[in-house]
Amino acid sequence: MIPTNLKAMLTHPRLALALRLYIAGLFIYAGMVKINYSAEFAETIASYRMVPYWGVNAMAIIMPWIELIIGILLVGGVRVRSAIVVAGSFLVMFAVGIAVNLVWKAPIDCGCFHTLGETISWKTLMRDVIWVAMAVHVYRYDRIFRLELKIDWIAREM
Amino acid sequence: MATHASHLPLSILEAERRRFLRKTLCDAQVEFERLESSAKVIESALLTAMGALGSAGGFIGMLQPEANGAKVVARGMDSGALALIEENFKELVDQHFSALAIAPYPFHSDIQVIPETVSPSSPLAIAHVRMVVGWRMGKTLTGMMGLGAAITGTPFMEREIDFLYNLVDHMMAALRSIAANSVMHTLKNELDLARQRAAECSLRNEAAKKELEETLFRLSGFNDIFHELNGLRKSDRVLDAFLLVLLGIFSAQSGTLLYRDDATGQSHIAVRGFDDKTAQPAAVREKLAAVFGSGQGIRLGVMQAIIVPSEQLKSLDLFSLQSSIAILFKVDQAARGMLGLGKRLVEPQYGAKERELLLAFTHTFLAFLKNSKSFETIQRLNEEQGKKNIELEKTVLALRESRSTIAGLEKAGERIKAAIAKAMARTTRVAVMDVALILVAGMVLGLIYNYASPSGIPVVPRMWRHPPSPQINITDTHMLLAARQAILVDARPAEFYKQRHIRGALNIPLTLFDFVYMMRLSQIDPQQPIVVYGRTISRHYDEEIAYQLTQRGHPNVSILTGGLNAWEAKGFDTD
Repeated sequence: MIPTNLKAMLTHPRLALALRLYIAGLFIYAGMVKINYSAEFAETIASYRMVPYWGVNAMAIIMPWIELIIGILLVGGVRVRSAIVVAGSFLVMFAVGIAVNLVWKAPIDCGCFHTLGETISWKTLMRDVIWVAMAVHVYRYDRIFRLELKIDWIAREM
Repeated sequence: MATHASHLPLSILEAERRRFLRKTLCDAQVEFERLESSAKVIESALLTAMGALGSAGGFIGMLQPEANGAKVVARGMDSGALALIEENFKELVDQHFSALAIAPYPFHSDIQVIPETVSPSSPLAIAHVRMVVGWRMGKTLTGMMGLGAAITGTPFMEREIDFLYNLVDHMMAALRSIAANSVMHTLKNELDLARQRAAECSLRNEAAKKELEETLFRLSGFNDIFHELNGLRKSDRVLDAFLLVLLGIFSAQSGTLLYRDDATGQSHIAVRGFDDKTAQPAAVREKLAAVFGSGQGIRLGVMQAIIVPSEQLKSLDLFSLQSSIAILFKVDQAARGMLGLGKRLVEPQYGAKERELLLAFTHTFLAFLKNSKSFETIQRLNEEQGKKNIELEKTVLALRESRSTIAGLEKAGERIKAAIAKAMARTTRVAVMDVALILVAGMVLGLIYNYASPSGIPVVPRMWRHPPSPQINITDTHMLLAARQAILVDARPAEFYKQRHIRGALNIPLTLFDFVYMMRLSQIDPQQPIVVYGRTISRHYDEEIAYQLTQRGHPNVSILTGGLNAWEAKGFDTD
């Protein structure tokens, strides 16, 4: 049984906010890094061997932008739940991809932040799983510092 | 004569005496006709009687009823006796001649000889009168003559008495003639007076007639003006009509009428009988400002008019009109004007009466002009009110529209609020729409950026645009390789090659194609068959490398059907 204080601390909205901002930064960074190197990123996606060949390039083009948008939405506190769901889905997808390729023993790069250089490992998978947990935390407990609430207040003032 | 008579026979003397008396009568008649006043006639009669009868004294007088007295003339009598006679004249006449008939004509006369026995206190006795002669002419004129005794002392004979009757008759005839003359003279005077009065009456009639004509002219003028101006509601029409009527009334050859209202800024001009192209409303303001600014018009009060003095007429600028008379007028402080008339057709000059009449007409005209001005003001106000009403209606319409717009905006606001509320509700939950939006936004941005970026990549696989490379089965490949007739190329990335590959295969990853080709394949015979393999679900490396090789001039490039997995399934060697 988790002590009440610890539970309160773990479920505190400020913690959720911190995690939200962390994941936001993560996604903004990841997106920004890959946006300008779509060819390399396409190769990375291809190396995972999970996306059909006709969707690899499109995915390489679109995914960094979706990551960037998610990051921005999470920073601003706009549509946090939807954004965090998409972010979580991405993270789950990455985790599955890494896990499968680890099982296949494929010597491929992660391609998470840098297009080249970081080979996937169980550590990488663990990191992704932690990030998924963070996303779940944000989904459940985030409720402060949301720009939408300010907009709603302005609308009510009108 | 007495001496001479004493020598003649009595009959001759008698005849002589009668002849003498007749001659005296004739002389007296002639004398009477010559005399003009009755006083002189009776005086002459007295003297004639005294001379003819040889009387030493006598008197003669006539009653004057109007003076209630008598005018008596005496000769040869002392003044005391005369006064006594004069004082008792009427009583004496009544006493001796009351019986005289009152006859219109012939007049009656009577002679009485005063007897010796008369009372010595009687006035006649005192005056030594021996015979009195009385006469009556009509009702009022009564006279009496008294004669003293003859100097010779002889009593008065019948012939003397006859003489006296005749003398008195002649005297009465002369008096009557004088009276008639006097009456005639009076009548003549009266006639002259009547004539004079008639002439005066005639003159007065003439004057009255002229005055009537003038009054008629004046009234006719007023009537014309009323008739023409009545009912006109516009100032310019009033001006035109007035000028036309004036020209008709005064028989003027030409004329002009200038009018300006500074309050409304309107100028009018009416021109008749002369041609001047500069006579336009635009020039009116300047002309009037020149006249009224010079001081002539400043003295004018509201609704007043003055005639421009004739010495200033020449300096008056009324276009090309040679004006004989001009009038300045003011309706109010802002509205003023000037009227000028040319020469008259009948009489060249405008007399005092014409000037006065023209001024009177102008005052009447001013009343009409003021009315028309008032009407125009009312009309303008009505129009302005109408415009204001229209504007008001527009404003009301705009307000209604604004209200409906506001209602629409309020509805829109409500909708926005509802949308925001809905959106807020969505913030606490996951919305498919939001997820879709994120994905679509990412897709759109990504595609746009990729299209614009120099490092952009094709969205669809490049090989879709190339003709597919020919396939070669594993057995044939194996034979070719065994005979060293073909080169086998592993197209996968180096990591996969390193994991596992067909023995003898040359690894050419796409990313390193140029480098590896130059190193390993640039020297070989282009006709030598090349077999390429290596594909995953995500990449058809073999197709891309085969295409690149074909592009480099190798016509015999084939794809290994089934790839590495099929090769292994056949049990051929791998490393």
